[in-house]
Amino acid sequence: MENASNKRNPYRVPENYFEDFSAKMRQRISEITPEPAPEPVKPAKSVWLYLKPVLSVAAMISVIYVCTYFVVQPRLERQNAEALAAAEAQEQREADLLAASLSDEDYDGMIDEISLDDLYFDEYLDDMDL
Amino acid sequence: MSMIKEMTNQEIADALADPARRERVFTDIMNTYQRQIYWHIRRLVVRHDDADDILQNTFIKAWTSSASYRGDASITTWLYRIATNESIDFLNSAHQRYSSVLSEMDDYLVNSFTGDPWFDGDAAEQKLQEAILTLPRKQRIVFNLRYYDEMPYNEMSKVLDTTEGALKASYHHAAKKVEDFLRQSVKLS
Repeated sequence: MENASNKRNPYRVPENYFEDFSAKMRQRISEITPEPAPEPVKPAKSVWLYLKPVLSVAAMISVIYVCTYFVVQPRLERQNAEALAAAEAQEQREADLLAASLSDEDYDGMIDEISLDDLYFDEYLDDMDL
Repeated sequence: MSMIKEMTNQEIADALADPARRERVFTDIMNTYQRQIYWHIRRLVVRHDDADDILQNTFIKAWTSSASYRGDASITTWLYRIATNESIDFLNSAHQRYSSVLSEMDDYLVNSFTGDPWFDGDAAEQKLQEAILTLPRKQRIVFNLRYYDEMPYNEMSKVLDTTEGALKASYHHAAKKVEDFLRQSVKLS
């Protein structure tokens, strides 16, 4: 077939051209060895393959650190602060209770003891020439 | 009876990769498609002797690289692609050879068939061939493949490694130019 559409073809070929062509080409290809099929290209192992596990561990550690710094630690600090405040409040309540149970004479006795301690400290300093 | 037309692309690829079957299958391919490929080449290069040389080169190249045919495109697409590239290479080298003598490559081609004993078209057919030869090379290839071979655009896209949209636009422009050329020829005659 000269063309798929069988449109008028103004070109011609010599007589028996295609028959002779087949014979001629069979002779030619029998004398030529085809090239072997190309080997499939194996992707080269890149440095990335070796770095990947190391980077994965580093990424994991970074995530843990960020979570600890921004989430866990503030929570712990908050809990500690709450516990400290609770302890201070308890001390204050106990002090208030103690104060409420002490008489004026008990207070006076406590103040004298404190003064005596300061006196002894001053004498110590004089001995040391400080 | 061609056994190639009964085989799938993959079966053809497997046969060409098998040294025991390669030559028989390839001979069948040549016998089945040589005319179709010849006329594609001939319409591009015009002269029979040039088309004959290019057709031989096409099948030699196809035979040499037959083991690398993987069946992902049809056997006709594969052959058309080789033939088109061989024809373009020939036209490029001919243009370099003759450009110092002739002002345009199409002058060479037009002169090829006006004195060629293997051209027996009447005046109208000669005008049509002249019109086609005025087209830029890529447009001429697209026009021939669509007009004469009625090749689907998706297959043409694989042959010429160009998008279907670009090919449709190219054919549209080519057909318009051919039509304008013929109208002008009628006016002047």
